Amino acid sequence: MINDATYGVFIALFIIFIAIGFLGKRFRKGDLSKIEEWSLGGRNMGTILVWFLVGADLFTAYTFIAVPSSMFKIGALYYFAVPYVSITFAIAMLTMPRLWRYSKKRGYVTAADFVKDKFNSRSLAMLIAVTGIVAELPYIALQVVGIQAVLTSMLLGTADIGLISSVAIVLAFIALAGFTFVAGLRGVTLTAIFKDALIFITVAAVIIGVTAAIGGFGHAFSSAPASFVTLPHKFSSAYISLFLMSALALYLYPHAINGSLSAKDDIKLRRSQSLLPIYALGLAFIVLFGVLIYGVPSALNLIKSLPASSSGVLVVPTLIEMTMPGWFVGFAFLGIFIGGLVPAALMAIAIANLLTRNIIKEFKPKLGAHLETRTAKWIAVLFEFIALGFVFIVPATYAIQLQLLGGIIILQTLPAVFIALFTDKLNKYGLGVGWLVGIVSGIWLVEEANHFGLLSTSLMSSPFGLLFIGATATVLNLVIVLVWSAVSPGKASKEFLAATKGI
Amino acid sequence: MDNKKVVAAILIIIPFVAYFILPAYNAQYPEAFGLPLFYWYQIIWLPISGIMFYIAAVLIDMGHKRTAPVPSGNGRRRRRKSRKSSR
Repeated sequence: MINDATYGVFIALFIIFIAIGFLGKRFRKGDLSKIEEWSLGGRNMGTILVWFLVGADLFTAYTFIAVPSSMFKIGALYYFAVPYVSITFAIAMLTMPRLWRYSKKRGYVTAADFVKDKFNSRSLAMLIAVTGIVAELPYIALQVVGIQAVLTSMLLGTADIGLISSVAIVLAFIALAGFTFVAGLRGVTLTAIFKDALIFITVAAVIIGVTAAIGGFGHAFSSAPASFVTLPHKFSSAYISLFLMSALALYLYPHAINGSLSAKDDIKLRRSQSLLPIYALGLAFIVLFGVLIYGVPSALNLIKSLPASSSGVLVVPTLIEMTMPGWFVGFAFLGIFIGGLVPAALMAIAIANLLTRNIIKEFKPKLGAHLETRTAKWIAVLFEFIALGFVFIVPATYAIQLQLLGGIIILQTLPAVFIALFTDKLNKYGLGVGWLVGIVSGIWLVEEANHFGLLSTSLMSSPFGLLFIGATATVLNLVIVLVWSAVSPGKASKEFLAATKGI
Repeated sequence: MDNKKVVAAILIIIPFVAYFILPAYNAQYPEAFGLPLFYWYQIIWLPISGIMFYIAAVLIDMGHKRTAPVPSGNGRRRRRKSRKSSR
């Protein structure tokens, strides 16, 4: 139910959220004109803070909006999100502490910094930076889609809904840009904790409340189509390739690396990553909202009455609205609302770091430390507004599809970032060619699978049944890199090797 | 590779295996709390994998010297020294 209490609670909590964001400036005070202080919180976050920061910024509008809506439409296939968020943290705990140690020693802020130093190659570093930025953009846009979904649900039936929700989004982004600029990563970390508290309470309340009201999950499953109860066999390979490749992709995203590098030390980082599968319990249940809604006829009918283009993203907000008291709807909606805003802020910071350090600085090497930070701050703000603009231009369904493409693209940086952490033998030209083949084949296969039309699937048919295209493209890339490097092993830069001995 | 690393590797691999054996859990029965096996199996493996990964993390870092608190002589030591060993 939506009433005045909904709006009251929503607005009051939003004001608290913004205040926390700005107060972040004073948290573990540092000189915010230095890029390490502004964008990595001075590399000073302990186990619990990193747990919240990385956790909160990995479970985003993708989790709260996109996965449950796909679950609602397609069924069990989208439960791949659960194994994905278990094993991705095994990959994180093996790779991130190592990257952290190199970064601490050599002053890296981005993965491209590492690639540039290790291979002594600016072009390869730029390639990695551009890939990161391009893959991250639809991810930010998806956050705005989530934010918009909450406002649409909250204002449904109001006259001028378009105008009011646009004004609200713009205001929210101005506030967000303000605290990103002023407090940097510190603001993001503190708001992440606030956001998580709201989200966890919401998930628990809805799961308990709704299952109690409709007489258990069994009722929802028996009302849903058969493809919800178990995974149809034709999707077996798709399921495994989706969760495995998504798990490999996650920590290649600039925002995940940015969050990891803010840890205080490598041991704290490893421990916080290792515990994140427990955090993911929230996700396992929120994805089930896509099934639960089948057991709540009022919510299901409302969704079915909406146009197909917008109904998908409204599954979670509608279920909450139809089953919870007004004040709680305000509470939960704000949780989802800032669940999009907080990651968007971290993503903007990560993009700003890449663009400033790995691209602008390459052309303007004389950029001083202060000017570098100032540039990064403005770029972060700029990208927050670009993402905002994106959503006014591109329909919501597109954002989810572009996000699929982003996952395939970011995977192509796997050899240069993850494998290079563990071996000095990779050949930089092999890495470049592998990247190119991965990107081109990935995009081509996606286009082909969608018959060069609207993107609706990232699966292709193969001798193993339906397969996630990210897997095919990455295997091609890996084969090229490994064979090339075996035939003609590359050399890591001498300076890098000397400085990182014994790490 | 010492024994600790081997145990850590096994602890990390087990959850992968648990999720890879899809045909073993892609079924409706037995149900728990109205959830088909497919769902509850994958949910309970989340906390189990978290615990396994945590033990693996501790094993990997045993005997590994910490990078951060190494005194580098440039005055960047942490202010709250008393909490350094409370981890």
